[in-house]
This record gives sequence, structure tokens and C-alpha cells, in this order.
Amino acid sequence: MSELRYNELRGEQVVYAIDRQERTFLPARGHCPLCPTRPDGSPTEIPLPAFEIAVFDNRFPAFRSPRGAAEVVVYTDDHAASFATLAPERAEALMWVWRHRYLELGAREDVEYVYIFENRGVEVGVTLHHPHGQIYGYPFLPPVPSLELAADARLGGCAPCRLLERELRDASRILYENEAVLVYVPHAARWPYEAHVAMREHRPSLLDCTPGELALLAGALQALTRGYDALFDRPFPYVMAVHQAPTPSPERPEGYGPADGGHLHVEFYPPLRTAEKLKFPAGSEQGAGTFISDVLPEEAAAGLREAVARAR
Amino acid sequence: MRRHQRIHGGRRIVRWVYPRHMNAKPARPERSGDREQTPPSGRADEKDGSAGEPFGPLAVRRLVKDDGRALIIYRGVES
Repeated sequence: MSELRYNELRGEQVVYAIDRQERTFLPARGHCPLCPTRPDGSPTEIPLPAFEIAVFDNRFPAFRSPRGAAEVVVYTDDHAASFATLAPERAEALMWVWRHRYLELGAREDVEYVYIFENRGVEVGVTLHHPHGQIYGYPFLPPVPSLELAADARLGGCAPCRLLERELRDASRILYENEAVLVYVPHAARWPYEAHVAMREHRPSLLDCTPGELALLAGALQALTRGYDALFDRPFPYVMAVHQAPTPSPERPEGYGPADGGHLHVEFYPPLRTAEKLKFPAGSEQGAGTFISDVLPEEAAAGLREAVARAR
Repeated sequence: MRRHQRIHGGRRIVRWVYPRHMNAKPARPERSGDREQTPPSGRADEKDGSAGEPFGPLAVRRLVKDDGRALIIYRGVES
């Protein structure tokens, strides 16, 4: 069972999930726990010979009922695939799976924030290579969505809506766009090749999107991730973070604020600053909280835009 | 990766030493009885006998693994 401790100096919760120390670590392909269970192979987490998308309770959870949730989302039964290489209809189906999990986990009283994410690559700590993401149902509102709520208050409305207007006016950092979604390197990106994928219209969560918007979101996410892989002609590591509105809790049955407390957007934090060099959050980033980047967002956007176009 | 072995209290202690750089760290070698290779829960039973409740374009099939964890299988209704 995990334990929460409040770090007074930082004003934030720290989660101790000591069972996770024993979690499966980079197993050989023949022992991948996210592959289908083949008749002639050893059992896996998914006891079926084939599947499309599977979600299960994490065997090594950071959170579990009655204090939150931790789920694994397996995108495909193809071990060698990635989010970028999924068939478009599978990527679109994944948006519906995310929506379903947001709906069900968000309805739980012990979940205040549903956070969907993917860690890709050993550079960001991946322990299983099979294409998958995770979902944490936090029993509290974590610091980053709290900061986004504070930005809403500071800017007098939905902050992502305001920032989208700025990016559209400037246009120098846009990587890809369709009728519903804008993909761009933000004006003040913290990571060298950070990119945001944002709904053009104000949509607090996946539940507020039309089916057509979900399909366009999937297309935009795949355009970006394919572009990432094309940028340095190698599998591109990243953290993909889906930001949505916090879900109602017994203490806040009406949710958060006039902007519904969120605007669906997906942030990518890639650790690479060149094809072979990593950006490490070190002294300034960890000790002072100030990112120092080696790449100007406009220059990163120019390279990425070309890679996204090349990968389409 | 290198294999280090020493005798302590009459018992043989074996440990694996990995290269420092994370990228170079390979998968741990297989050993019988290795906890990291212990198969996860390999069975699952239908939670409600349903072949799949609809959600948008998906059929949602709910199962319970034999260790009590939930497993949900999503399938496109056209497939």
C-alpha cells in the first residue's frame, strides 16, 4: 500500500509506493507481460491470444482503491509497434478508451484528478518496451494542474485559450494543424523539443469532444509523434501528458472555477537536445525551479515542422 | 554487464553489475525462479458475462483476473 506524506517546504504531496521497487524491469521480449498469452508461451497480464486495446489495474500501483487508481493501457498486441505506428483507426479508438477511463475513474469519490500519460524510451525511465501508457487517478489535485488553474485565474479566463490565440497570431512555432487541433512548440517551452497539442475550441476534457474532434486529436498526436521519430531518425523518447479538467470530488461537487478548470491539451516533454545528448533537469531546474534550455523554441519548431511534414 | 560472485557465511552471493549509462542497461538475464520473470496473473473470468457493453465505437468487455485485478478489453465494433 502506498503512503502519502506532505512535504511542507515544497507544499506538495510525496507518494511512497515501495512495492514498485520490485516491478518488472526491461524483460526479454519472450517474457513481455503486456503481450498476448500465446498457447505455447508463458502467461501474461492479458490472458487472450490476441486483443486490440487492453486496460488493467497496475500490478505495482502507485495508487489503489480506496485512495486513487493506477491503470495500464496497452495500445496493441503488437510488441514492436508504437503510438506513432498504430493504424489511424486504432489511435482513434484509443481516444475513446481514454475518454471511457476518464469518465469511470473521474466518477469515483477517491479520484480527484485523472492523469493519462505515456513514458516512451529508457531515457525517461520506461521499464517495459511494449507500446502502452498509464493512467493515475490521484486522490488529490497534483501541483501541475493546480498551476494551470492558477494561470486561469491570473489571465482572467481559460489560460490555454489565451495561449492558443497567441500562438495562432505569431504562427512561427506551429507544427501542424487541422480543423480541431493545433500542434505547436510553446512560446516558453521548458524542454528543447517540447510540443503541445491543444483543442482549438474550449473543451475541458475528452468527454466534451465530438467524435470528429477525437479523430482529429488522434491524427494530430500521430502526426507529432511520427515527426519526433523522423527528427533524428530514431525512436524519440518522450513523456506524453494529457491535461484535462479535474473531476468533481465530494469537497468540490461543482468542479473548479469559471473555465471549468481545464482545457484538454496534451504536452510532450522529450529529453533529447540532440540526436545523442540528453537534457538533464539538474541544478537550476531541480534546485531553483528554473529551466535553462539550449534551443530556442522557434529553432526547435522549424526543425520539428520539417520533420512532421516529412513523416506524413 | 558483469557477474560478481563472492562467498559470505558459507553462501554464494551473486550480483550483476550494469554499465553506468542507462541506455546501455540490458534486460536482466533469465533465471529459473526469478521473481521479475514470474508470470503475472494468467487467468481472467468474465465479470458480468457480457460480451461487450457499447461505448462510442467500442465494445467494452470486463473481466476479473484471478488475483482480483480488473481487466478491460476494448474492441472496435466494426472489427
